[in-house]
Amino acid sequence: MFHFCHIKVTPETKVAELVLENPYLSLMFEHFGIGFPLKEKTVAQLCAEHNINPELFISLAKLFSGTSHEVTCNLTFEDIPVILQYLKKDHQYFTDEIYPQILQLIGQMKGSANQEEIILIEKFFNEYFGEVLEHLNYENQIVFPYVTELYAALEGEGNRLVSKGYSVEEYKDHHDDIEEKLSDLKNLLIRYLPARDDQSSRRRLLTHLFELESDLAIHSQIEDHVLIPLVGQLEAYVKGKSK
Amino acid sequence: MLKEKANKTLHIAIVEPSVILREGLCSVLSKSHLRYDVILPADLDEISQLYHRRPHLLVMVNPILVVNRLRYFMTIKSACPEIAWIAIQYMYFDQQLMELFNEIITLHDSPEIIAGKLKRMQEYVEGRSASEHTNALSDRETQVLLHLASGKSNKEIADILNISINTVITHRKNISQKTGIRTVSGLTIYAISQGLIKP
Repeated sequence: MFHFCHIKVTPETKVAELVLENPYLSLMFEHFGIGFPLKEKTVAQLCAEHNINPELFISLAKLFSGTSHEVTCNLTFEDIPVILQYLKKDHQYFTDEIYPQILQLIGQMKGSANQEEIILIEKFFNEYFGEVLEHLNYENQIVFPYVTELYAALEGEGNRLVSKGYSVEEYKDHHDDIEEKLSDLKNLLIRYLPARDDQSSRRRLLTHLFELESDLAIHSQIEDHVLIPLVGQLEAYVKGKSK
Repeated sequence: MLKEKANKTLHIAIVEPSVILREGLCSVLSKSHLRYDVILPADLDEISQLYHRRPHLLVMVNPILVVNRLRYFMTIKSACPEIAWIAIQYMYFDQQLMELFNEIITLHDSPEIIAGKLKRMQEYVEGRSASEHTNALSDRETQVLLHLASGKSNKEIADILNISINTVITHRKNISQKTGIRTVSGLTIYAISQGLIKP
């Protein structure tokens, strides 16, 4: 979830102060494998400890703080393992944490008044999340292993043939938008669905849906603006080398 | 009342990196009979901040600033419903991109046409804030909605209602604009929640 805060992030900024300004950043930290307590560490210190490129860290922190909607940092191939690790953790967060929580809240709404609309909402959400899962699985099964293989080829494990005919171009094509359904779901809950003694579960459900939407948007920004361009370059380099 | 409306100040923001286009637009505006104020934000990021101070805003923007930041543009657009987005079109852009704007000003528009478009956009933003929640569907739109909810395709609906597919598409667009709901599954739940059909 992004949260507007205008604290300037530099390598010298104390990370604890960042989280005090924007608690949602703790999710980003978690994905980077950074845990509490943060003590008095600066961005530079923390990045050095965890082997993260400070530029990458700062760019993502800006996404989470709503001060930037693009990633424009200079990254190298060396950053790829960290980015992959980050995205994999993010996938886990969506499937193991957010998805069950949302289902549980829908279940509570159903429980309070087993109305037909909520059953349809549940079906609708499952349809939507099915598409999200399909996308995440595609990355887990095809894209991430491909990137790992490319990276291994770069690391000098010979001129091993990387490909199976796959290319990051295909990944770009696969990256379609599935946001309409989520937007519809929010609209239905906010504007139209009759109240049936479900105020508090509906409120919490909405909060979760907004978080999910924002987190997925940040996730896509990282994929579109960080992973895809970087892998594109790596692909050209490795395939050039193996010729 | 009418007079007051006629004299209303238009709040215009021009987001255009080219100094020639920007100054040219300012000059066209200054020669019009419109009452307006104009600000020149450096980029799209400033718009959402401006919006909180001044909701009824006509934003003239170069589509090139939108094309690489579509997701971001859509976010601001839905967060700021009382903004009219006007594209400054000076070259060919994808039709789908241009449909995201409420109005298009081209290099060939005369100053009168530009003024007319801006005035219409002013009425549009005022209308949006007034009628946002009283967006009742017309009878025809309701019919289209019911057919959609029962799983019919655009073509089937066109045949049943004896109208063209394009008209069906226009109705669907209007339904989505009025209800805020775009997918067929979403519209079905909408129809049920409004008591238009039984689950």
